[in-house]
Amino acid sequence: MSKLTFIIANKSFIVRRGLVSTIEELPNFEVVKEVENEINLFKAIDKLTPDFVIINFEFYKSLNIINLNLLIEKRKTKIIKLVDRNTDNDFFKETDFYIDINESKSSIVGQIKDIATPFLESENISINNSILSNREKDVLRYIALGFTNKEVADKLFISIHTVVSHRKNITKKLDIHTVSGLTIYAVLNKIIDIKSS
Amino acid sequence: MTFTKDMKMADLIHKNYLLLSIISRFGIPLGFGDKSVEEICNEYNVNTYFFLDIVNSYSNENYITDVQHNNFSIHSIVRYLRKTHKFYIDQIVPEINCLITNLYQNCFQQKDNVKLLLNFFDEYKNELLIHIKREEDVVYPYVLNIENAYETKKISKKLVAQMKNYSINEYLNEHSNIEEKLLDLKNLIIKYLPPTSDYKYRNKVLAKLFQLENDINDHSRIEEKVMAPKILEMEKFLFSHFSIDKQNSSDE
Ligand SMILES: [Fe+2]
Ligand SMILES: [Fe+2]
Repeated sequence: MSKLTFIIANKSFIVRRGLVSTIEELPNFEVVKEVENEINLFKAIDKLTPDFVIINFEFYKSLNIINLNLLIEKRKTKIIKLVDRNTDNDFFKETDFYIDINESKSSIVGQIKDIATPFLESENISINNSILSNREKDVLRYIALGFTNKEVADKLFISIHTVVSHRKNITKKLDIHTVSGLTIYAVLNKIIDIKSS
Repeated sequence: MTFTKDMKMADLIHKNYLLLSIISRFGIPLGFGDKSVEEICNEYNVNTYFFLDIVNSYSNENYITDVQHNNFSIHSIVRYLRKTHKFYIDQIVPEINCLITNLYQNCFQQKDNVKLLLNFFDEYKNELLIHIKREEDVVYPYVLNIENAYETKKISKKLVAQMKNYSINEYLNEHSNIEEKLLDLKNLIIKYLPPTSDYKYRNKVLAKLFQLENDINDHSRIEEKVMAPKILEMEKFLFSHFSIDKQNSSDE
Protein backbone atom coordinates (compact mmCIF):
# COMPACT_ATOMS: atom_id res chain seq x y z
CA MET A 1 0.00 0.00 0.00
CA SER A 2 1.37 3.40 -0.96
CA LYS A 3 1.70 6.21 1.54
CA LEU A 4 -0.26 9.43 1.58
CA THR A 5 2.02 12.45 1.50
CA PHE A 6 1.53 15.82 3.17
CA ILE A 7 3.10 19.24 2.96
CA ILE A 8 2.64 21.41 6.02
CA ALA A 9 2.45 25.12 5.23
CA ASN A 10 2.50 27.34 8.26
CA LYS A 11 4.48 30.36 9.40
CA SER A 12 4.71 29.08 12.93
CA PHE A 13 7.45 26.56 13.69
CA ILE A 14 5.58 25.26 16.75
CA VAL A 15 2.36 24.60 14.83
CA ARG A 16 4.30 22.84 12.07
CA ARG A 17 6.07 20.56 14.51
CA GLY A 18 2.79 19.77 16.22
CA LEU A 19 1.17 18.76 12.98
CA VAL A 20 4.16 16.76 11.78
CA SER A 21 4.32 14.71 14.96
CA THR A 22 0.56 14.17 14.91
CA ILE A 23 0.51 12.99 11.32
CA GLU A 24 3.55 10.80 11.58
CA GLU A 25 1.93 8.79 14.33
CA LEU A 26 -0.47 7.53 11.70
CA PRO A 27 0.62 4.57 9.63
CA ASN A 28 0.74 5.25 5.88
CA PHE A 29 0.80 9.02 6.36
CA GLU A 30 4.00 10.92 5.71
CA VAL A 31 5.00 14.58 5.84
CA VAL A 32 7.35 15.23 2.94
CA LYS A 33 8.03 18.92 3.51
CA GLU A 34 7.43 21.85 5.81
CA VAL A 35 7.27 25.31 4.27
CA GLU A 36 6.75 28.79 5.64
CA ASN A 37 6.24 30.98 2.56
CA GLU A 38 4.46 31.04 -0.78
CA ILE A 39 7.50 30.54 -3.01
CA ASN A 40 8.64 27.46 -1.16
CA LEU A 41 5.13 26.10 -1.01
CA PHE A 42 4.65 26.35 -4.78
CA LYS A 43 8.09 24.87 -5.41
CA ALA A 44 7.40 21.99 -3.06
CA ILE A 45 4.01 21.18 -4.60
CA ASP A 46 5.56 21.30 -8.04
CA LYS A 47 8.44 19.02 -7.14
CA LEU A 48 6.90 16.61 -4.63
CA THR A 49 3.29 16.29 -5.88
CA PRO A 50 1.88 15.71 -2.41
CA ASP A 51 -1.58 14.23 -1.81
CA PHE A 52 -2.42 16.97 0.68
CA VAL A 53 -1.31 20.41 1.74
CA ILE A 54 -2.31 21.37 5.25
CA ILE A 55 -2.34 25.12 5.50
CA ASN A 56 -3.67 27.61 8.00
CA PHE A 57 -6.49 29.80 6.82
CA GLU A 58 -4.76 33.19 6.97
CA PHE A 59 -1.80 31.89 5.02
CA TYR A 60 -4.12 30.37 2.42
CA LYS A 61 -5.95 33.66 1.93
CA SER A 62 -2.67 35.47 1.23
CA LEU A 63 -1.73 33.11 -1.62
CA ASN A 64 -2.14 33.65 -5.32
CA ILE A 65 -5.13 31.35 -5.55
CA ILE A 66 -5.19 31.14 -9.33
CA ASN A 67 -1.62 29.91 -9.50
CA LEU A 68 -2.22 27.57 -6.62
CA ASN A 69 -5.25 26.04 -8.29
CA LEU A 70 -3.34 25.58 -11.52
CA LEU A 71 -0.63 23.76 -9.63
CA ILE A 72 -2.83 21.46 -7.63
CA GLU A 73 -5.38 20.63 -10.28
CA LYS A 74 -3.02 18.63 -12.43
CA ARG A 75 -1.39 16.97 -9.47
CA LYS A 76 -4.66 16.12 -7.75
CA THR A 77 -3.31 17.67 -4.57
CA LYS A 78 -5.99 18.44 -1.99
CA ILE A 79 -5.90 21.44 0.30
CA ILE A 80 -6.84 21.04 3.95
CA LYS A 81 -7.43 24.32 5.74
CA LEU A 82 -6.78 24.82 9.40
CA VAL A 83 -9.54 26.86 10.94
CA ASP A 84 -10.71 27.83 14.38
CA ARG A 85 -13.94 29.09 15.83
CA ASN A 86 -13.12 32.65 14.81
CA THR A 87 -12.59 31.86 11.16
CA ASP A 88 -14.88 33.87 8.98
CA ASN A 89 -17.71 31.63 7.83
CA ASP A 90 -18.12 33.63 4.63
CA PHE A 91 -15.13 31.90 3.12
CA PHE A 92 -16.43 28.58 3.94
CA LYS A 93 -17.28 26.08 1.20
CA GLU A 94 -18.94 22.75 1.83
CA THR A 95 -16.77 21.06 -0.75
CA ASP A 96 -13.48 21.89 0.92
CA PHE A 97 -11.63 20.12 3.67
CA TYR A 98 -11.17 21.70 7.08
CA ILE A 99 -9.55 20.82 10.34
CA ASP A 100 -10.52 22.64 13.49
CA ILE A 101 -7.28 23.44 15.29
CA ASN A 102 -8.91 24.05 18.66
CA GLU A 103 -10.10 20.50 19.03
CA SER A 104 -8.43 17.88 21.20
CA LYS A 105 -5.55 15.85 19.85
CA SER A 106 -7.65 12.75 19.32
CA SER A 107 -10.25 14.75 17.46
CA ILE A 108 -7.63 16.30 15.19
CA VAL A 109 -6.15 12.89 14.45
CA GLY A 110 -9.67 11.69 13.69
CA GLN A 111 -10.36 14.60 11.38
CA ILE A 112 -7.15 14.05 9.43
CA LYS A 113 -7.85 10.36 9.15
CA ASP A 114 -11.42 10.94 8.02
CA ILE A 115 -10.33 13.29 5.30
CA ALA A 116 -7.33 11.37 4.03
CA THR A 117 -8.12 7.70 4.43
CA PRO A 118 -10.59 7.51 1.54
CA PHE A 119 -7.68 8.47 -0.75
CA LEU A 120 -5.51 5.58 0.32
CA GLU A 121 -5.10 3.09 -2.48
CA SER A 122 -5.94 -0.02 -0.63
CA GLU A 123 -8.04 -3.10 -1.12
CA ASN A 124 -10.28 -2.40 1.78
CA ILE A 125 -10.12 0.88 3.55
CA SER A 126 -11.74 -0.06 6.78
CA ILE A 127 -13.85 -2.99 7.74
CA ASN A 128 -15.94 -1.06 10.21
CA ASN A 129 -16.64 1.46 7.55
CA SER A 130 -20.27 2.01 8.38
CA ILE A 131 -19.98 2.30 12.11
CA LEU A 132 -20.44 5.81 13.38
CA SER A 133 -18.25 7.25 16.08
CA ASN A 134 -19.93 8.58 19.19
CA ARG A 135 -19.32 12.12 18.06
CA GLU A 136 -20.90 11.39 14.70
CA LYS A 137 -23.90 9.90 16.47
CA ASP A 138 -24.25 13.12 18.49
CA VAL A 139 -24.21 15.16 15.30
CA LEU A 140 -26.61 12.79 13.59
CA ARG A 141 -29.05 12.99 16.48
CA TYR A 142 -29.34 16.76 16.18
CA ILE A 143 -29.52 16.69 12.39
CA ALA A 144 -32.28 14.13 12.59
CA LEU A 145 -34.15 16.35 15.01
CA GLY A 146 -34.02 19.11 12.42
CA PHE A 147 -31.32 21.41 13.76
CA THR A 148 -29.20 23.47 11.37
CA ASN A 149 -25.40 23.13 11.17
CA LYS A 150 -25.02 26.30 13.18
CA GLU A 151 -27.36 25.09 15.92
CA VAL A 152 -25.62 21.72 16.10
CA ALA A 153 -22.28 23.51 16.41
CA ASP A 154 -23.57 25.58 19.31
CA LYS A 155 -25.11 22.60 21.07
CA LEU A 156 -21.98 20.48 20.85
CA PHE A 157 -19.51 23.36 21.38
CA ILE A 158 -17.72 22.63 18.13
CA SER A 159 -17.18 24.80 15.07
CA ILE A 160 -19.53 24.77 12.14
CA HIS A 161 -16.67 23.38 10.02
CA THR A 162 -16.41 20.40 12.27
CA VAL A 163 -20.15 19.81 12.05
CA VAL A 164 -19.96 19.86 8.28
CA SER A 165 -17.06 17.46 8.13
CA HIS A 166 -18.86 15.12 10.51
CA ARG A 167 -21.90 15.33 8.28
CA LYS A 168 -19.85 14.50 5.23
CA ASN A 169 -18.44 11.45 6.95
CA ILE A 170 -21.83 10.31 8.16
CA THR A 171 -23.24 10.55 4.66
CA LYS A 172 -20.26 8.74 3.21
CA LYS A 173 -20.34 5.97 5.79
CA LEU A 174 -24.08 5.36 5.61
CA ASP A 175 -24.58 6.22 1.95
CA ILE A 176 -27.63 8.27 2.92
CA HIS A 177 -27.79 11.77 1.52
CA THR A 178 -30.95 13.52 2.63
CA VAL A 179 -31.97 14.78 6.04
CA SER A 180 -35.19 12.77 6.03
CA GLY A 181 -33.21 9.65 5.11
CA LEU A 182 -30.82 10.29 7.99
CA THR A 183 -33.75 10.78 10.33
CA ILE A 184 -35.16 7.38 9.46
CA TYR A 185 -31.76 5.81 9.89
CA ALA A 186 -31.53 7.43 13.32
CA VAL A 187 -34.92 6.03 14.31
CA LEU A 188 -34.14 2.55 13.01
CA ASN A 189 -30.95 2.54 15.02
CA LYS A 190 -32.51 4.04 18.12
CA ILE A 191 -30.28 7.10 17.94
CA ILE A 192 -33.43 9.15 18.34
CA ASP A 193 -36.77 8.12 19.70
CA ILE A 194 -39.62 8.62 17.29
CA LYS A 195 -41.81 10.09 20.02
CA SER A 196 -39.29 12.79 20.81
CA SER A 197 -39.00 13.89 17.20
CA MET B 1 -24.94 -3.69 -28.58
CA THR B 2 -26.49 -0.83 -30.47
CA PHE B 3 -30.01 -1.03 -31.85
CA THR B 4 -30.39 -0.03 -35.49
CA LYS B 5 -33.32 0.88 -37.72
CA ASP B 6 -33.24 -2.40 -39.61
CA MET B 7 -33.56 -4.64 -36.57
CA LYS B 8 -36.86 -6.27 -35.79
CA MET B 9 -38.83 -4.33 -33.20
CA ALA B 10 -39.64 -7.57 -31.41
CA ASP B 11 -35.92 -8.26 -30.90
CA LEU B 12 -35.52 -5.03 -28.96
CA ILE B 13 -37.90 -6.32 -26.33
CA HIS B 14 -36.18 -9.70 -26.26
CA LYS B 15 -32.88 -7.97 -25.61
CA ASN B 16 -34.15 -5.61 -22.93
CA TYR B 17 -37.66 -6.03 -21.65
CA LEU B 18 -37.50 -2.73 -19.74
CA LEU B 19 -37.85 -1.05 -23.12
CA LEU B 20 -41.50 -2.11 -23.04
CA SER B 21 -42.48 0.91 -21.01
CA ILE B 22 -40.45 3.19 -23.29
CA ILE B 23 -42.10 1.84 -26.40
CA SER B 24 -45.57 2.35 -24.93
CA ARG B 25 -44.68 5.97 -24.23
CA PHE B 26 -44.18 6.47 -27.94
CA GLY B 27 -47.71 5.18 -28.42
CA ILE B 28 -46.49 2.00 -30.07
CA PRO B 29 -48.53 -1.07 -29.07
CA LEU B 30 -47.31 -4.68 -28.99
CA GLY B 31 -48.03 -7.03 -31.86
CA PHE B 32 -45.22 -5.94 -34.18
CA GLY B 33 -45.00 -9.17 -36.15
CA ASP B 34 -41.65 -9.19 -37.95
CA LYS B 35 -41.62 -5.52 -38.82
CA SER B 36 -38.41 -3.54 -38.44
CA VAL B 37 -37.89 -0.61 -36.11
CA GLU B 38 -38.09 1.80 -39.01
CA GLU B 39 -41.30 0.32 -40.37
CA ILE B 40 -43.02 0.46 -37.00
CA CYS B 41 -41.81 4.00 -36.32
CA ASN B 42 -43.13 5.17 -39.67
CA GLU B 43 -46.42 3.44 -39.03
CA TYR B 44 -46.89 5.30 -35.76
CA ASN B 45 -45.43 8.58 -36.89
CA VAL B 46 -42.40 8.44 -34.63
CA ASN B 47 -39.05 9.86 -35.71
CA THR B 48 -36.91 6.73 -36.12
CA TYR B 49 -33.63 8.36 -35.09
CA PHE B 50 -35.15 9.92 -32.02
CA PHE B 51 -36.61 6.55 -31.10
CA LEU B 52 -33.24 4.84 -31.59
CA ASP B 53 -31.47 7.50 -29.57
CA ILE B 54 -33.86 6.96 -26.68
CA VAL B 55 -33.78 3.17 -26.63
CA ASN B 56 -30.03 2.99 -27.13
CA SER B 57 -29.19 5.43 -24.40
CA TYR B 58 -31.69 3.73 -22.11
CA SER B 59 -29.94 0.41 -22.59
CA ASN B 60 -26.39 1.69 -22.60
CA GLU B 61 -25.18 4.56 -20.46
CA ASN B 62 -22.16 5.11 -22.63
CA TYR B 63 -24.09 5.36 -25.83
CA ILE B 64 -23.23 8.49 -27.75
CA THR B 65 -25.89 10.19 -29.81
CA ASP B 66 -25.37 9.85 -33.52
CA VAL B 67 -24.85 13.54 -34.30
CA GLN B 68 -25.55 13.08 -37.98
CA HIS B 69 -29.09 12.08 -37.25
CA ASN B 70 -29.98 14.11 -34.21
CA ASN B 71 -32.01 16.66 -36.10
CA PHE B 72 -35.25 15.61 -34.42
CA SER B 73 -37.40 18.44 -33.19
CA ILE B 74 -37.75 19.90 -29.72
CA HIS B 75 -41.40 19.17 -30.22
CA SER B 76 -40.86 15.44 -30.36
CA ILE B 77 -38.47 15.54 -27.41
CA VAL B 78 -40.93 17.45 -25.25
CA ARG B 79 -43.76 15.16 -26.25
CA TYR B 80 -41.71 12.20 -25.12
CA LEU B 81 -40.62 13.89 -21.87
CA ARG B 82 -44.24 14.70 -21.05
CA LYS B 83 -45.27 11.12 -21.68
CA THR B 84 -42.51 10.02 -19.34
CA HIS B 85 -43.73 12.34 -16.61
CA LYS B 86 -47.16 10.85 -17.08
CA PHE B 87 -45.73 7.38 -16.75
CA TYR B 88 -44.17 8.33 -13.41
CA ILE B 89 -47.27 9.96 -12.03
CA ASP B 90 -49.90 7.55 -13.30
CA GLN B 91 -48.04 4.31 -13.17
CA ILE B 92 -44.80 3.68 -11.41
CA VAL B 93 -45.25 5.99 -8.40
CA PRO B 94 -48.70 4.57 -7.51
CA GLU B 95 -47.29 1.08 -8.03
CA ILE B 96 -44.47 1.69 -5.58
CA ASN B 97 -46.86 3.28 -3.13
CA CYS B 98 -49.09 0.25 -3.34
CA LEU B 99 -46.17 -2.16 -2.87
CA ILE B 100 -44.91 -0.35 0.22
CA THR B 101 -48.45 -0.41 1.61
CA ASN B 102 -48.58 -4.15 0.98
CA LEU B 103 -45.26 -4.54 2.71
CA TYR B 104 -46.69 -2.59 5.64
CA GLN B 105 -49.75 -4.80 5.84
CA ASN B 106 -47.77 -8.00 5.59
CA CYS B 107 -45.18 -7.52 8.25
CA PHE B 108 -45.52 -7.76 11.97
CA GLN B 109 -42.50 -6.56 13.88
CA GLN B 110 -41.37 -3.74 11.64
CA LYS B 111 -44.72 -2.05 11.09
CA ASP B 112 -43.76 1.30 12.64
CA ASN B 113 -40.57 1.42 10.64
CA VAL B 114 -42.20 0.54 7.35
CA LYS B 115 -44.68 3.29 8.09
CA LEU B 116 -41.73 5.69 8.17
CA LEU B 117 -40.66 4.50 4.73
CA LEU B 118 -44.16 5.07 3.47
CA ASN B 119 -44.03 8.67 4.68
CA PHE B 120 -40.58 9.06 3.21
CA PHE B 121 -41.81 7.92 -0.16
CA ASP B 122 -44.69 10.34 0.15
CA GLU B 123 -42.23 13.19 0.66
CA TYR B 124 -40.32 12.01 -2.36
CA LYS B 125 -43.50 11.91 -4.41
CA ASN B 126 -44.24 15.53 -3.56
CA GLU B 127 -40.74 16.58 -4.53
CA LEU B 128 -41.09 14.78 -7.82
CA LEU B 129 -44.46 16.39 -8.51
CA ILE B 130 -43.10 19.87 -7.87
CA HIS B 131 -40.15 19.16 -10.15
CA ILE B 132 -42.44 17.94 -12.92
CA LYS B 133 -44.89 20.80 -12.53
CA ARG B 134 -42.14 23.37 -12.87
CA GLU B 135 -40.93 21.74 -16.08
CA GLU B 136 -44.36 21.39 -17.60
CA ASP B 137 -45.55 24.87 -16.66
CA VAL B 138 -42.39 26.86 -17.31
CA VAL B 139 -39.54 25.05 -19.01
CA TYR B 140 -41.29 23.09 -21.74
CA PRO B 141 -43.48 25.98 -22.92
CA TYR B 142 -40.34 28.13 -23.05
CA VAL B 143 -38.32 25.67 -25.14
CA LEU B 144 -41.23 25.16 -27.52
CA ASN B 145 -41.48 28.92 -28.01
CA ILE B 146 -37.76 29.12 -28.67
CA GLU B 147 -37.98 26.40 -31.28
CA ASN B 148 -40.96 28.08 -32.87
CA ALA B 149 -39.16 31.43 -33.09
CA TYR B 150 -36.09 29.70 -34.48
CA GLU B 151 -38.04 27.90 -37.18
CA THR B 152 -40.28 30.76 -38.24
CA LYS B 153 -37.67 33.49 -37.73
CA LYS B 154 -40.40 35.43 -36.00
CA ILE B 155 -40.23 36.37 -32.37
CA SER B 156 -42.90 37.74 -30.05
CA LYS B 157 -42.27 40.67 -27.71
CA LYS B 158 -43.17 38.40 -24.85
CA LEU B 159 -40.49 35.89 -25.74
CA VAL B 160 -37.89 38.64 -26.15
CA ALA B 161 -38.73 39.85 -22.66
CA GLN B 162 -38.52 36.34 -21.35
CA MET B 163 -35.16 35.68 -22.99
CA LYS B 164 -33.71 38.74 -21.32
CA ASN B 165 -34.36 37.24 -17.91
CA TYR B 166 -34.22 33.56 -18.50
CA SER B 167 -32.05 31.16 -20.42
CA ILE B 168 -31.91 27.42 -20.65
CA ASN B 169 -28.61 27.80 -18.81
CA GLU B 170 -30.58 28.69 -15.74
CA TYR B 171 -32.60 25.56 -16.14
CA LEU B 172 -29.37 23.57 -16.22
CA ASN B 173 -28.19 25.26 -13.05
CA GLU B 174 -31.40 24.85 -11.13
CA HIS B 175 -32.25 21.39 -12.45
CA SER B 176 -32.34 19.60 -9.16
CA ASN B 177 -31.18 16.19 -8.36
CA ILE B 178 -34.35 14.22 -7.75
CA GLU B 179 -32.61 10.89 -7.38
CA GLU B 180 -31.13 11.49 -3.94
CA LYS B 181 -34.17 10.49 -1.92
CA LEU B 182 -34.64 7.49 -4.15
CA LEU B 183 -31.10 6.34 -3.45
CA ASP B 184 -31.69 6.80 0.26
CA LEU B 185 -34.88 4.79 0.17
CA LYS B 186 -33.10 1.96 -1.61
CA ASN B 187 -30.36 1.91 0.98
CA LEU B 188 -32.79 2.05 3.86
CA ILE B 189 -34.57 -0.99 2.47
CA ILE B 190 -31.44 -2.92 1.52
CA LYS B 191 -29.23 -2.10 4.47
CA TYR B 192 -30.98 -0.53 7.40
CA LEU B 193 -34.52 -1.78 7.77
CA PRO B 194 -34.12 -4.90 9.94
CA PRO B 195 -35.33 -8.20 8.48
CA THR B 196 -39.06 -8.20 7.89
CA SER B 197 -41.39 -11.19 7.99
CA ASP B 198 -42.36 -10.34 4.44
CA TYR B 199 -39.73 -10.47 1.78
CA LYS B 200 -41.83 -10.67 -1.38
CA TYR B 201 -43.09 -7.10 -1.27
CA ARG B 202 -39.83 -5.81 0.05
CA ASN B 203 -38.06 -7.25 -2.99
CA LYS B 204 -40.72 -5.96 -5.34
CA VAL B 205 -40.48 -2.45 -3.91
CA LEU B 206 -36.75 -2.53 -4.49
CA ALA B 207 -37.03 -3.77 -8.04
CA LYS B 208 -39.47 -0.95 -8.83
CA LEU B 209 -37.26 1.63 -7.16
CA PHE B 210 -34.34 0.51 -9.30
CA GLN B 211 -36.51 0.78 -12.38
CA LEU B 212 -37.72 4.25 -11.47
CA GLU B 213 -34.20 5.43 -10.71
CA ASN B 214 -32.94 4.13 -14.01
CA ASP B 215 -35.75 5.77 -15.86
CA ILE B 216 -35.33 9.11 -14.14
CA ASN B 217 -31.61 9.12 -14.79
CA ASP B 218 -32.29 8.58 -18.45
CA HIS B 219 -35.03 11.18 -18.47
CA SER B 220 -32.76 13.80 -16.90
CA ARG B 221 -30.06 12.92 -19.37
CA ILE B 222 -32.42 13.70 -22.24
CA GLU B 223 -33.39 16.98 -20.61
CA GLU B 224 -29.85 18.06 -19.94
CA LYS B 225 -27.82 16.52 -22.73
CA VAL B 226 -30.24 16.42 -25.64
CA MET B 227 -32.86 19.12 -25.17
CA ALA B 228 -30.85 21.85 -23.42
CA PRO B 229 -27.88 21.95 -25.85
CA LYS B 230 -30.22 22.33 -28.82
CA ILE B 231 -32.03 25.18 -27.08
CA LEU B 232 -28.75 26.83 -26.18
CA GLU B 233 -27.81 26.93 -29.86
CA MET B 234 -31.19 28.33 -30.85
CA GLU B 235 -31.02 30.97 -28.12
CA LYS B 236 -27.61 32.04 -29.40
CA PHE B 237 -28.97 32.36 -32.90
CA LEU B 238 -32.01 34.33 -31.77
CA PHE B 239 -29.93 36.72 -29.69
CA SER B 240 -27.82 37.71 -32.66
CA HIS B 241 -30.50 37.46 -35.34
CA PHE B 242 -32.87 39.79 -33.52
CA SER B 243 -30.04 41.68 -31.81
CA ILE B 244 -31.47 41.20 -28.35
CA ASP B 245 -29.44 42.61 -25.48
CA LYS B 246 -29.09 40.36 -22.53
CA GLN B 247 -30.29 42.33 -19.54
CA ASN B 248 -27.72 42.58 -16.84
CA SER B 249 -28.94 41.37 -13.53
CA SER B 250 -29.83 43.83 -10.81
CA ASP B 251 -26.41 43.78 -9.14
CA GLU B 252 -24.96 45.97 -11.92
FE1 LIG C 1 -38.57 16.05 -16.40
FE1 LIG D 1 -36.15 17.15 -14.80
